[in-house]
Amino acid sequence: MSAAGPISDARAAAPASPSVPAPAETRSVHPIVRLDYFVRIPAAFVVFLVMGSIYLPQRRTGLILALVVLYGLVWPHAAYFLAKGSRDSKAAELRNLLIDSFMIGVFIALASYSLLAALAFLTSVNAANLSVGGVRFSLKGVLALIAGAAAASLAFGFRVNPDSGALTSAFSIFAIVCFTTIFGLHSHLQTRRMLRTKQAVQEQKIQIEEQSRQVEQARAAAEEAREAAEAANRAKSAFLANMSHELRTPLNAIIGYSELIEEEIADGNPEDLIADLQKIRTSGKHLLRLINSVLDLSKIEAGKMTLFVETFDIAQLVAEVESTSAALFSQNRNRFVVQCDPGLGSLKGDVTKLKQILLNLLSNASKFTENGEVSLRVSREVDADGNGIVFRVRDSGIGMTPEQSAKLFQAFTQADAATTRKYGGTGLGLALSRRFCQMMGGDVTVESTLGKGSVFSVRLPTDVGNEEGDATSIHRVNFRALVEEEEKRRGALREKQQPPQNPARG
Amino acid sequence: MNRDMLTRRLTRRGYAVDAAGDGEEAVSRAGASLPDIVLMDLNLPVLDGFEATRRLKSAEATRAIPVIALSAHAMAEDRERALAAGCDDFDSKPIDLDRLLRKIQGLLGPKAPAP
Repeated sequence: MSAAGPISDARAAAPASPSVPAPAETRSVHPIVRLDYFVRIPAAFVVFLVMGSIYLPQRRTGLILALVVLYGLVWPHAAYFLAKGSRDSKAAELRNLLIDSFMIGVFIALASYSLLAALAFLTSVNAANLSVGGVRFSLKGVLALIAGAAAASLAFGFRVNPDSGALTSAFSIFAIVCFTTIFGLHSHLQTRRMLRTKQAVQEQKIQIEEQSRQVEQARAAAEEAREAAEAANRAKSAFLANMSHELRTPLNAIIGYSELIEEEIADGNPEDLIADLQKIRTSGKHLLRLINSVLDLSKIEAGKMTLFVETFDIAQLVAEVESTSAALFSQNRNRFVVQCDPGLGSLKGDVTKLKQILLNLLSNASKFTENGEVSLRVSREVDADGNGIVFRVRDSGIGMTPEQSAKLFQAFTQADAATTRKYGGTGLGLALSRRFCQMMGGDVTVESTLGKGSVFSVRLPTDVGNEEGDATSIHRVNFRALVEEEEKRRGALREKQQPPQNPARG
Repeated sequence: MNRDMLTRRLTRRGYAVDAAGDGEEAVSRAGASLPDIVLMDLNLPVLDGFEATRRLKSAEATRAIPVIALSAHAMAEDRERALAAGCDDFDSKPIDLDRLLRKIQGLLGPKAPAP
């Protein structure tokens, strides 16, 4: 018999796992076994009803009725325990289904191939076989059913009567409805479960994707932080290298001229003593300015630079700046023009820092302009950032190329080496001015044309430094700006030697 | 002013000094006067000290003249850059005159004025 195949297969496979304890096996019964048990009980009852409706009115063949009763009352439980006790419960259940098929064949024959009864039986057993064992198994089931029918015909005689009584028809129709309902429902529930599983898997997939995205974000953030730390470190190194250079240059003059004067005095014929002493003094003062500027920069960098915010009168500040800077302009024979809009009113900010910024810009303007004009124009303006006061320092001097303008605000950067030799300066003035300005919520910008002159604009919002929190955040911005600038400058350093900042070199 | 200072200090020690204000001038003067040694500031306008040294070292007439680089950049890599450009030695600022003189004498040998 073909049904022997899977059974012997299961038995042959069983010794391969002898270590598995028996109780665990009985407990892990295949879900199909339990399902079939609960299907088989009502099914056997329906078979009992259909067969009963045919044979009970005839009051004969007690053997057949006994068979039907046995099948209806005993078989479902027997089949269940047979499968449960088996080592391979699924294989045992398939064997049970083949027995079912065989028995259904028997009943079909005994029902004289009554069309409705046969249809009911065939439908139910075929549906069960298909759902549990698949197409090949259902074909085996059909063979078992034919075998059953043949055996019954041989044993009890071959009778054919396609018609059936009203009760038999009713039971048969009831049987068909029952079975299609059971299998239909089962299939529906399974589909729903499958969809739910699929959805759960999809949700898990989305969750996993989200997690991996977060991990990637965290990794990127860590990488960014590492790069920022490295950039800050490189910036510090570059800054120190520059500092070393800036300090050595005036020290060279101080030490060199001191030794020279000492030698000349020892020889008894000092020449040009006053000029040499002036050079020492100039270098010493330059060194002091440099150190003060560097200290200011490092204070800003460490977020320790504090602003002394007060409300002051703008016109009064301009007047003070005008009188302080007057001496600057005679040196290069420049005309100084101050132009104030009427009703400028007052401004809130650090007046000392602002004066320092303006004097720095005016001193630069007069340094780079000869026989020309330097102007300071102050106006109240509204732009994208809101209300502000703009101080414009315009000169008709040598001007700059766009490349020179671009790196002007970086520490230790001047237009070029020749500029430094000719005009001096620490290379820190504009860097500091910009940072002070940014601390007050504003900025310094430059527009320049080579040979025509430059305009530096200091823009400050009209309510500066109102809140402590603002000042802190500005410090942080400044620190980042410093790091970025130092980083850029380091790149430039690699390409070309830094311009020296020796003020009295030429 | 450092050029002026070094010129005076070397002159006092018996050297004849010819000073140039930028790299281009330095190359043309060295080609014309063929000095025994060149002290090359690396941060020169017009033509920087690296390029000026390269030109001196690539010209037949000036190739053999020893060059000592002078720079306020005192890091090891600055020295290496100078030597890579063809300088024979390197000295950092502030200048220690005795140290510089020893370097000059080391390169000039008997041609150097007696200390």
